[in-house]
Amino acid sequence: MSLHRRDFLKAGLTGSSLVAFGASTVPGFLGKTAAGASVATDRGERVLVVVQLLGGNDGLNTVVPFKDPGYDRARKVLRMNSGQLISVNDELGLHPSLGGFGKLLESGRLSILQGVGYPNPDRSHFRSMEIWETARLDHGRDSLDTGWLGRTIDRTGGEAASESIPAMSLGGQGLPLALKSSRRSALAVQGLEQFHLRLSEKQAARQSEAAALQNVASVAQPADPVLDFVRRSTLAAYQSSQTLEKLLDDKGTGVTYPGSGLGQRLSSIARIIRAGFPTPIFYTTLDGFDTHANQPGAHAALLSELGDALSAFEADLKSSGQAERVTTLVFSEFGRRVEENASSGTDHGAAAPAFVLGPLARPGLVGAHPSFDDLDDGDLKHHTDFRRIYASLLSEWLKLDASAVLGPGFEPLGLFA
Amino acid sequence: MRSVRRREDAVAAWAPYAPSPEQPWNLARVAHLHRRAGFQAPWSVLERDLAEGPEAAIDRLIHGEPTALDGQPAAQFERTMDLLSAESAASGSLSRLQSAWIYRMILTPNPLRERMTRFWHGHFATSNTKVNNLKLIHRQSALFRSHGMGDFRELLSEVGRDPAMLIFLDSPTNRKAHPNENYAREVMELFSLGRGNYSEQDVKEAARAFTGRFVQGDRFREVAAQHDGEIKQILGKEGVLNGETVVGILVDQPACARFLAHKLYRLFISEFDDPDPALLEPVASNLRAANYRIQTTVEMILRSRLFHDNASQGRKLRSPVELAVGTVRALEILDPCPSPETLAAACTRMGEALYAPPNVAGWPGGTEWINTASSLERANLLLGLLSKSDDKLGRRLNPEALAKRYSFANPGDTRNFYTQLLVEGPFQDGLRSAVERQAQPDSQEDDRVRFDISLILTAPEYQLT
Repeated sequence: MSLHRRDFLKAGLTGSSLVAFGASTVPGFLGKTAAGASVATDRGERVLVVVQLLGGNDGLNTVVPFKDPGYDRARKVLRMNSGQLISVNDELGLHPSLGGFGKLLESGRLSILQGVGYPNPDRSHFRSMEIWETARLDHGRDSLDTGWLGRTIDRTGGEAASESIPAMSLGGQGLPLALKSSRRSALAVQGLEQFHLRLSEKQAARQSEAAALQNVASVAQPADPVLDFVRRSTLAAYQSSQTLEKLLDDKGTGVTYPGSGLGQRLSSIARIIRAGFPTPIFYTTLDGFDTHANQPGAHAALLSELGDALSAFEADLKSSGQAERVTTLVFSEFGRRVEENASSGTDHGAAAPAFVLGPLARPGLVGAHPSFDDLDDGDLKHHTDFRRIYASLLSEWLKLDASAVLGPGFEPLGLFA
Repeated sequence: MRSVRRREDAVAAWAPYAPSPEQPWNLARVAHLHRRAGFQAPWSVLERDLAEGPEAAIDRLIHGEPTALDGQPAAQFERTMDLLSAESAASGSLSRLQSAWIYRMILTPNPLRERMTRFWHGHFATSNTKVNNLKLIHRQSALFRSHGMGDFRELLSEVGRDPAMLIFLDSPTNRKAHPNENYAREVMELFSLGRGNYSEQDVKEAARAFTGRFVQGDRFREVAAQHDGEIKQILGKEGVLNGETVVGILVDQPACARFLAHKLYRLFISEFDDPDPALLEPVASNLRAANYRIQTTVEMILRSRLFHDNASQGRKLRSPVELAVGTVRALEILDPCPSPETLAAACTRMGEALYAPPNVAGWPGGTEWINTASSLERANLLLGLLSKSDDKLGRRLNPEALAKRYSFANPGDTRNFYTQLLVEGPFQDGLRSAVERQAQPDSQEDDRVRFDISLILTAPEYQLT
């Protein structure tokens, strides 16, 4: 009868459950934090930021085909007149609230990817978000087990990288499906302020308390692989909270963000990037795009929040010398119905534009506006599968093997040099 | 793999534990029993069970304590809690329903019953995120509470007719002309047999047998016109099989008892080793011999040498609910207890959202509970309970008074008291000296004790159970 601890331990090293957890490395900044600030910046590792617009953004009133008679026919109450628009070219203009995007477009820092979607579009928010976030259209049993960025971080990082947080989500409810992974774990925080250890309010006491907690967590008990795992994670949590807490003292670069939620989240992301954190992927959302009724005011407010926050983000990154290593994707789970409804709103649709910001090889318009003469059940048809954007971000930007994450057959769009 | 060389070794592992000089009935064993079978217990309960021996302690877990921790007679407490949950469900607020359960677990006179209710909730994982009907979710939870220690065959049959489950696994779309395989697959893969013990054809045929099971007006309805009454062949049995006969076929498979034995092993013995099938065989035999009366097998496990073996201590990770509820019970923060809403929300952030499991496979448990974010949440919850300013969690515990009540008065004693009360046997000495080394001599006694406890609770050792 082998019932002794050492047998358990021996068993643990070969047993399948432990092999599985042994492979799942513990995220954290353990041992890296001190060096992190200077090293990561010097290394200039590339960063991807994703902004997900929740609810289905009305692409037609975001990038407006004002010359097209199809647009005039479909949009009576919601029509944007060419005089109001921010000019893109002779046929297209940006919603007047997207002044921020207009500036970025002028300086060659914005790509407008038109007609983005996927085959057999699903009009359910829930399902369509799943499709975008997992980059899978099938209903396979494992189809919802990981997100596309989760699979990305699972494939990155050898031994050394295992000790940094591979991806971080700010705001929102928990971890987005896009970041669900099987091997390394992303960190979901409400805001930087929330991610800190609750110690005494007195500054002097905090120091010694934190040190004591860390000391106790560092004590090596007789070797126990599970305890070691918990120990690493606990220390990583303390370390991350201390490091993130220090960012709160960062006085900023002088760039003013709009007071909006998105502005604050992007400002936090800029601070983390500026501090040289080795986290390559950030995720955040902007909610409220499900404009079934009284769309004009609500949509305008959302677009100005989006454009202003992102142009401040770009300016902030630029002033701290980070702009060339950061790119941002903006997408929504679907566009909206071409025909407006009777409540000054729009219902769920299909293809829509997506946006990429940053150091682009192909700024400006990418792809044609989808035709009004060839609709799919009243919705615009896509010509660019969203997974081709992901392929660009993965292979051209992050220099990873996109097919390992997305499967074969998604040609990158040449967005990056 | 935990190796068992001979069949007799496996039988010996599950033979009844009797205290011996090598494996004495000591405080560590009493605490282990409570943590595994229910939740951590107050010191008075540990002392009583230490004095009265393992038989009496296990009997009380099986049959319940006469009173809840708030002093109410058990039957009255359970009735009150049933009402409280029903009302919370009717309010439509998930967080209220979650807090009602957290509150019940904190004070319960039947910790094992709540442990089993939570086990079945994870086994038959159904999420309100999809069901979106708290009354049905509440009704399902009540089913697990009433049948959790009973006949598994009956439980499986009831689950197949449970409205929340039917909605969760798409039974309303399982029609004669277009069978939906969702329930048929999960009932085999996750509820009774495990992968590799059935074929795709079995799933297809079983889906036909389950057709016509709908939910109408929040009630289970069998709609004959949508039921496929033709001949089917499932796991070697042929006939005009329906949902009820499929349950019988599943439970009669040898794989069913083995599958449940493995899950009970993970529940009560260890999450960190992969037991030899031979070691599980006596548990599976017991299930079959007991005609799947779960209580019989749970008793066998709780009374076994393996359960009480030193090597079984610290072989699981505390789940968020166990961490929150257990700590509150052990520290007797009961009058008033910390805000159940705040505790439930913390459990959600730590990864255990009651009534909202991550998917149909339930919570994977073990090391999956732990990552950087959840580690910080864990530490913050525990520090909150000790806080002198937090209105929701803190300002309730008087740690000096608690230790004094049990006659641990001077500084060294209180540290011993809290280490023994809170930490797994094998780690007690190492952790106590680590805590001792951090002592802050200038601080006041109350602050010093709080600080000691905070070091114990946030230690990695405390996350193990």
